[in-house]
Amino acid sequence: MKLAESTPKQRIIAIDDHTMILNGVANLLQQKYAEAEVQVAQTRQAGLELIARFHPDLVVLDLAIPDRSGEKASAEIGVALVETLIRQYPTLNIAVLSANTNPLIRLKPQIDNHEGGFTVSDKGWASEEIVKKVNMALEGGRYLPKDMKLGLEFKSEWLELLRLAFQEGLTDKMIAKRMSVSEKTVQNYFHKVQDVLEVYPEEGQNLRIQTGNKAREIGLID
Amino acid sequence: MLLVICLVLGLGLGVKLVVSHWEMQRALRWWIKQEVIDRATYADRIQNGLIQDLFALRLSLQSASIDPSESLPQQSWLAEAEKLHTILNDLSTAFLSPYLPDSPTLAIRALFQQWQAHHPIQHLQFDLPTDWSPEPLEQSYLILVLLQRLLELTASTVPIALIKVHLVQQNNQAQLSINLIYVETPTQMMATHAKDLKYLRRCFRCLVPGWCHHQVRALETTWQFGWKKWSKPTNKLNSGDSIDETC
Repeated sequence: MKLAESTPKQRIIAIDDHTMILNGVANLLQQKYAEAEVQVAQTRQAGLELIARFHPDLVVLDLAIPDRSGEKASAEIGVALVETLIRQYPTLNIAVLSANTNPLIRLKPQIDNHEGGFTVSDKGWASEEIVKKVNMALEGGRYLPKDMKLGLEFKSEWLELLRLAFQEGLTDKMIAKRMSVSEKTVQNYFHKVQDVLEVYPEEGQNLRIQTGNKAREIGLID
Repeated sequence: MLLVICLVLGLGLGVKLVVSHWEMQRALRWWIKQEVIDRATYADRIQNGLIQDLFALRLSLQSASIDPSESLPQQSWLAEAEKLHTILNDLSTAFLSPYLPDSPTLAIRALFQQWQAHHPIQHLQFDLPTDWSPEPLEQSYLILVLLQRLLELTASTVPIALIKVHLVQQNNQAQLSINLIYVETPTQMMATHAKDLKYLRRCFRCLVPGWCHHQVRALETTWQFGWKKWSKPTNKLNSGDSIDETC
C-alpha cells in the first residue's frame, strides 16, 4: 500500500505590537493560507525566539515594535530585527508591513543581497494589495518601494541571466549550470530583476514572458 | 593717547558684537533643534499612533463578516478611512518629512517632486548622491525648510521649463546647486520677492551656517549653497544633547 504524501504545513509568523493589527493580520493570513500555521509575537525578542523555534516559511513584520514587552516601540528596533533576520536566515522570506517603511533605506545593501523573498507594504494600502505582496514574499519574490531602488545598478550576472534565459532559451537548471550557481540563486536573480523592471505577478499573465518582453523593450537584451 | 583709547574701546566693542552674534546664532540653533524634536514627536505620534489605529480599524472593517445588504455602507466607510489615511500621512509629512531621518537626499527629491505635482514645472532633473554621511536631523531640516521657502519665492507663480538639482558631498562639505529655467522672464516675481530672498540668504548663512550665491540671467537663475556638515554622527535626537559649537 502506498502512503499518501503529505505536504508540510506552511509556517508563518506575524510580528506587530498593536494587538488589533496583529489579530487582523493573523486573520488575513489564515484566510489566505487556510492550511498554514500562523504564530504571532508582539516584540522583537519574542519574534526572534519564535523564529528560532518555529523555522517559518515567512515572517510578516512591522518596523515600529518594542524590543521587549512593556518597552516603547520604535522603528530602530524593527530595522535591527530585519538586519538580524537577513544575517541569520539568508533565505528567509520576509514581508515588511509598516506605516513608515523609509527606515529600511538604512539596510538597502543587505536587502539587495538577501536571497529570500522580500516585500515592503504600506499600512495605507488595501488589504488585497497587502496580501498580494505577502504572497509574493512567500513565493520568494521581491517588491521594494521605488525610493529603495534609486541608484541600484543592473548587475552583470542579471544581464547574463537575461541573455541565457531569453536569447539562448535555457531552463533554470541549465542557466544555473552555466553560471555556476544553484537553481535557487537563479530564481532569486529573476525575482530581483523583475522588481527592478517592475514586472509583478498578474492574474493570467506569464511572469517570465513579461520579464523578457520588458527587458527587450528597454534594450537590456536584443 | 585718545586714539589708543578709541582703538581699544572699538576693538572691545567689536569683540563684544562678534560674541553676541555667535551666542545669538547658538541660541537660534538650539531653538530650531527643540522645534525639530517637537515636529519629530508629532510626526511619530501620527505614524505610530493614529495611522496604526486607523489601519486596525480598516482591517476590522474588511475582515468583518457582514450581511451583503450592508456591504455598501461598509465600502463607503473604507473609502472614508482611506481618505483619512491620506490626510494623516500628509499631516505627518508636514510636521517632518518621513525621509529626513534616514535619507536627506531622498527628502530633497521628494520635496521637489511634491512641488512639481502642484505647480507648473515641466521637468525635474536630479543629480543626488545615494549615500549621505549622517548629520544631525536639525541641519537636514534647516536645509529642507530653506529649499521649501526658495521654491515658494521662485517657483510658485511662473511656469518653469526645468529645475536641475545637483548635490555633492566632499569630506564634510556639501554643495547644492538649484538651477531654474523659466518659460518666461521672471523679472517681476524676483522684484516682488527681492526682500524675502535677501532674508532667505541671510537665514541660510546664519543658521545652517554656510555660503549662498545666486546668479540671474534672462530665463535662468542658479542658486548655490555650500555648508560644512555638522559633526554629530547620528540622527537620533535627544533634547539634552549639546549643540556643535564650531559654527
